Amino acid sequence: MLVKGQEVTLVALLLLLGMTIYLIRSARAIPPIRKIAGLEAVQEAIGRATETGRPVFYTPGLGNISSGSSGVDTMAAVEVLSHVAALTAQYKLPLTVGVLDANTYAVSDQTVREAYIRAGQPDLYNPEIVQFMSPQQFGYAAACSAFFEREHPAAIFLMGFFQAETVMLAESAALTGAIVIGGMVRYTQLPSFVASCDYTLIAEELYVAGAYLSKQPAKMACIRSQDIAKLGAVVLIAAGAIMATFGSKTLIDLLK
Amino acid sequence: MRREIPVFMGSTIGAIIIADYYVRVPWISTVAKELLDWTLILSAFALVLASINLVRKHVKSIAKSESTAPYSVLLLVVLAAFAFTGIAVGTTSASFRFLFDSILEPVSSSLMGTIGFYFLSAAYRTFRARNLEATLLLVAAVVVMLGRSTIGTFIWPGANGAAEWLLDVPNTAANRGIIIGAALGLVSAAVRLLLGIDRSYLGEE
Repeated sequence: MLVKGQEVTLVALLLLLGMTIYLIRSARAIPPIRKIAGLEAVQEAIGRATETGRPVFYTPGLGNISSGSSGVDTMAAVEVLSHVAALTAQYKLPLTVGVLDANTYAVSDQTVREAYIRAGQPDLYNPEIVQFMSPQQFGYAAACSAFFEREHPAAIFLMGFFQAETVMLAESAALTGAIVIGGMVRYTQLPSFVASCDYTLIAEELYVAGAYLSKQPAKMACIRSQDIAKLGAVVLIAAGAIMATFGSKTLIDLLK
Repeated sequence: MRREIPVFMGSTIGAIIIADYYVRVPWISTVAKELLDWTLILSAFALVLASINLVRKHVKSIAKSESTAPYSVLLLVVLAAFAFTGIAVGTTSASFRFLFDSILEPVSSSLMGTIGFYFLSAAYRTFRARNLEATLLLVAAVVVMLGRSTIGTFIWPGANGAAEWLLDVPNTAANRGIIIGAALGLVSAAVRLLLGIDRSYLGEE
């Protein structure tokens, strides 16, 4: 019944799931997590926009929420969008959200509307906050770059899944003088963000961003379980490397 | 109920899709395939909504005679041309292919061609020896550029070997660390979504 070759990953997934549920239900105090500069800078960026009266731009990337390869990245970006939208509603700042994918457009629009309601500013929401730029990769990048040039946002958030247009987006954002906060998981284009953005969320920092900003105990418990799993992975890698050095393939065969 | 029903649906459907990945049970496979087909249908409806948003935005821009109005006119004309041609004669027809080859492909290629200039701009601003880390980055970048170019190996014969070592050892190690961390983070984020802990799309913080 089990798919051959997937037994180990299934066990690992169930272990992680069980550990997450245990940590959530145990209600133990979660140790504070380290400061993430990019997330601490969100407030600074919104503050800059409030002082200058210039708009805020946010894009959750070009990922599709229903895609296996980019769905979770995009949902993590939408989670951060919820927080940013609530802040812009609170400070009455103009917000523009540029999207490429139609599914992401629908979810982003809903998220922004709910964030404005949560912030007590339902009247400030309008359907033009979230803009479907283009379904084409470079059309979307060109539309975002043109927005940066025309509107000169004070804060630009580039979060989610990006591909070849990364450097185009990040560099055109940086050249406007805005505070640029980027976040992506895929390592292939990460250097472009690190080079051009003022702050970058690297890999799993994007996944924990929503939990970090909300500080909810259940979400913090998920970060804790993730860290425990990472520690387990480090132990396995170290043990496997030592065993392989001495000619033993037991652990490798066990994990296959 | 308004918040619980979407979370329940998401969790149930997610569980079925994940179960299909790990177990071979005929009815689970059938249901999972059906759900994935429904995703395509939902995506089509979402595309209609997104298209309405796009057209509305540009029609407003034209109505208000904004500075971008000429570009909005151009966008709407091309959008209409593609839409009507695709509907009337099909997306595999010669006419549609002509539109694609003469408009979309050259424009995309041109925009992709500008990436090199953006890289130069980013490199000019980034590769400055402001501190130790920036200096290391600068040195590594110079070594890799020399090693990856023919003239570089004339300047320094060992450049290719040094570049290979930089890419194969520290770069690969860092990439694998990022991949492992990202994979665990992805699973954790997916667990948060499936358990309904993360409900940002429903307006909860």
